[in-house]
Amino acid sequence: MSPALRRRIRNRIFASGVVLCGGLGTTALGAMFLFLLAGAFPALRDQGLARMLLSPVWEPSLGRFGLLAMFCATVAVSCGAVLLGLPVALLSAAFAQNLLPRRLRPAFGGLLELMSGLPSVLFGLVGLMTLLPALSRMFPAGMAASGGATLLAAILVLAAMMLPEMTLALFGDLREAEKQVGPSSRALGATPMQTVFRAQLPAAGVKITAAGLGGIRRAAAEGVAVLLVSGNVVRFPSLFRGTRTLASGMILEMGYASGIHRSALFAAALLLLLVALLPGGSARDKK
Amino acid sequence: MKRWAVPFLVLLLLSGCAERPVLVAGSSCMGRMMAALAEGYAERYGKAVEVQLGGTELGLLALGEGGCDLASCSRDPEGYGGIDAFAVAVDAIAVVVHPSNPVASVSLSELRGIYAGEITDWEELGASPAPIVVVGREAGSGTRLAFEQAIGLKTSARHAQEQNETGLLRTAVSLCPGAIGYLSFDYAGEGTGVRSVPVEGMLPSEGTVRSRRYPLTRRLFLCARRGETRSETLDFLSFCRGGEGQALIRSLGIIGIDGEGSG
Repeated sequence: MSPALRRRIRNRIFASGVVLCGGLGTTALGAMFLFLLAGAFPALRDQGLARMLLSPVWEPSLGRFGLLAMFCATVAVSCGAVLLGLPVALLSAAFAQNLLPRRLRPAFGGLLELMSGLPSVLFGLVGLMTLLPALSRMFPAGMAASGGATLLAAILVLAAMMLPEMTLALFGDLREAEKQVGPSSRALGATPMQTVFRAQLPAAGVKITAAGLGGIRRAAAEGVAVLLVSGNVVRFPSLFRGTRTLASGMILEMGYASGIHRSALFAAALLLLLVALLPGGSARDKK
Repeated sequence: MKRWAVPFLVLLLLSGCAERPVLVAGSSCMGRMMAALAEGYAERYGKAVEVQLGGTELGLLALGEGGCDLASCSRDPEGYGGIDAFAVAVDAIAVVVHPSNPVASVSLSELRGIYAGEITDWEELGASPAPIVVVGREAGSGTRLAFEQAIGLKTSARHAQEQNETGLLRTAVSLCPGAIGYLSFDYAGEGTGVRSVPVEGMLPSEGTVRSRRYPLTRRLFLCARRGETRSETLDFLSFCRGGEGQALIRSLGIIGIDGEGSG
């Protein structure tokens, strides 16, 4: 066999492997979507799309399956967590990139990687054991009636949970921005702080937005950590009251739900999937 | 057919023929009891029994669909078609609060008021003023159904927190000074971080449950498909209801059925 032929065969095998794996992934995603759609269909037919999306009343025992309250709670929890977590992550990353001694930076990155690998249920448990009692002590008037299990608790836990991952992503983004604009900024006579806020951050702008959107997606999909600290009562989000998100509601009820109830939970999953897909890819692709 | 696939196929076929363990699914508050029974049965007869938790409704659902052999059921399965129910134990639902809560006793109508959202402050029950944090179980829980039936709650409960597992509910109550919750009384003993409150002046105990003076009692069932004939399943069932199983149940501080007929 000639070397050229051998190379061609090897190329062919490699190319078909890539196509196969890519095809499998896409098919699996499509199949999942269809599966959810098929699962959600009985509830959508029974309740009507408009009623499911626009009614806040979720009373499985009465046959009422409105998703609006849980949807709003999901938006409130995930946006709240990112609004709280993103500035902290951004400033931590800026600190690590500019002020931390150079030889400590790898350790900082390694620590973040370790932290971002922690399972979310740990954050939920620590929140349940320490945050809830602390919150009900700190806000006796507002939180005593819920025992601390509130929207605020869910936001705090999720923000803490996403902090390492967001910081890590932004750390990388800022390093790239520094390479692009850092030297010229300093050559123009900018102080280190001016370089951070006037040069690095604007240069990393789109990526910061992408990190925020990624955070929202991740927070919206988180169920277990939220389940443990949010009280799990279905109602419109209010900072000092208990709440239930789409994801935590699914965990709570999927175990025993049957018939239309189960199908309604599939509809909740479908809604969550749409939330997760919408802001995602487009922002990450822009460079 | 590829030659390498043959051994796998043979294995697959064999695993289908091999003796399948009896699978019990259902109530989370019967989890402790079922785990002990399964362990005792395996030790005594060398046959495995698997126990899965997930709530009474899930167990009954799985039983109907053939997903398990026995459903552990912590509410009265009357009216559920196609099954035979066998009582295995008697349980009391304890009403629990934080250990620091001084409340002396609650009545059934006070409990109804609390869970309906009409009584919202401990002051109304003679304790020091503080908001009541109403903790309950999720909608498919047998404990919740039995509790709400016993206190005569007609509307949907007004919870501040909903937990989907007996242990989680206990943790939530033990961490929150103003909380009130309910769970199987064998989960509420000394050193569990919660305090049982007398209901209508009675604390749950073997004596008050047997004499039916404690008002929140229920029987716990194992349910099989009607006319079940699989001998492994029937053997395990009679073990649970017989002397050895009942002795195991009593050793956990749960009350046995002693001479009561099947449900």
